[in-house]
Amino acid sequence: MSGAASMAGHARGRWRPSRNICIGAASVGTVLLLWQTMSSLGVVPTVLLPGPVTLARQAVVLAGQGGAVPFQLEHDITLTMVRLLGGFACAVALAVPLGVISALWPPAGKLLQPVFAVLMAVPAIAIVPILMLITGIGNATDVTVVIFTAFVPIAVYVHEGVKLVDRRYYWTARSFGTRPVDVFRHILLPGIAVPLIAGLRMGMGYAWRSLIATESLTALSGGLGYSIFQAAQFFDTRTIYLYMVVIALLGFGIEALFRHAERRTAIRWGVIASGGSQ
Amino acid sequence: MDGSVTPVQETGLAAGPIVVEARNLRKVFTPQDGNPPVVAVEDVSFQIRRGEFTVLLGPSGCGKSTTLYMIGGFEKVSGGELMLHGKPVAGPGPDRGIVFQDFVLFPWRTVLGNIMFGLEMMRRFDRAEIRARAEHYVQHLGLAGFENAYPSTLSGGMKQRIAIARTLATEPEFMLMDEPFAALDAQTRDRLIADLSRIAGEQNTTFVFVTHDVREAIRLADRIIVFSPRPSRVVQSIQVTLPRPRDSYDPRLLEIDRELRSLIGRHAPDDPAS
Repeated sequence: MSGAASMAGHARGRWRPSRNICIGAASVGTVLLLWQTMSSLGVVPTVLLPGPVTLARQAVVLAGQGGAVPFQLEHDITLTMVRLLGGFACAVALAVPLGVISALWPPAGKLLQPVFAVLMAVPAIAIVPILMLITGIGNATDVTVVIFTAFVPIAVYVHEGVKLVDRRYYWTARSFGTRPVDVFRHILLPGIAVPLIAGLRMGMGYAWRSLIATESLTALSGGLGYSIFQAAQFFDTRTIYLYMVVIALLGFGIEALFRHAERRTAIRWGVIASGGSQ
Repeated sequence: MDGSVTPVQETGLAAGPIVVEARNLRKVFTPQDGNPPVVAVEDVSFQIRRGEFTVLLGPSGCGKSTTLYMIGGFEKVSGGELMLHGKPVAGPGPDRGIVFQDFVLFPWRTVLGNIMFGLEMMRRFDRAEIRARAEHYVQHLGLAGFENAYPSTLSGGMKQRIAIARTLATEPEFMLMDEPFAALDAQTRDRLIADLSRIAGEQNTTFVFVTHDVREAIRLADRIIVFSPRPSRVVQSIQVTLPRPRDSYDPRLLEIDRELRSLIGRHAPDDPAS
């Protein structure tokens, strides 16, 4: 009975948004409605709590005006995303090979594991002061913070992931005469896909939070984190709220990408529970 | 009733040439953490002949799986000799396929993807040829309709069929099987034994099959190599000439079963703790 019902639900899911998305949209809609009502009724002064409609207007103003207003939303989004993605790409390029090597080659593991452990314990914001002295209060500090914060979880998850690959996968591959390059591509990479995605997700989450915080401290850099603090200087609450919403939406979008990657791998393969796939 | 012909015979009358020969084979594991070395295989000698379904039979801890892994080239030989076609085994090779007790399927590949794996890695066939060969073994192992499923959604019996198909698909000279049916329920095991016995008859492959199950051994084997535990040695190598398909309740099979059990019983350690 329940099997038939869930199958029908699955079939409908191809062309109708799932129940979870409907519930999520309804709850966000309710919050927006309450927010607008409170703002419109003047429960809280509109200066401290501008409504969603005001923010939408503000978004149009900031997005459309080019250089005519002090805050340029598009420009800030571009700056922040370029730093985030550029730094993240560097972190991946460093962390994945180091994680693999430290797991496969014991001397490297002995050398690198304590380094990972120490780095794991350092909050990113604690390295900002020295970075500002070394690299200045511009782009370089922001990007370095992204690389630093994303590197550690990716390297650690890759290291653990490689260690957990069943050695009999390699045996099986070698018993088919598999070449080393194919072992890497067809055994090692898919074998660590699940922890790799978990590490990327965590690294991206850390990097995103640290970048916004660091941007607020690096006065030459611009970007979302810089502008939201600048707006506070001008008591420009509409811009502050707008940037908060933009930061939240971007963060949500990034998370959604990783959730999608998890659905395509771990959940599809049945490696971790999806909440009722059996 | 036909007591004149005993279905159990000593070695020496066999058909094919010797393809694997172990002489005083020994395997010692030295743990990394400084614990004392563990002797897994003490002193083992046997011969495997081409095309014979050879079963390595013995209780757990007798070193039969380790012996299989040495034939596969996955574990290094510590002492004695292990010859494959007259040369010492040097690492794994595509001539020796392996099937494990717990399947070791690639969870990131579908059923068909798993079966195509070895064919893809050989880099000898084009895509269409690989697919056609894999499809053949899908049919052969009774996996039709499940080609696009992921292994995690299937039962243990189905998983082991996938693993067998994956290994058979590349048509290796040897099929090495490490207690492949030990994790399955009785009915599933029964059907898989029957299917494997049929497949082995059709295939030009030398099977080396590890088990602790006497009945399973007799239903499948042309030859049974009996191991004793601690010290692990080969007690006897016997030939089974019962016609196939074999029925578990055939009195001749039960007769061999009784002989084997008494043989293993004689070599069991009196005090397992000693």
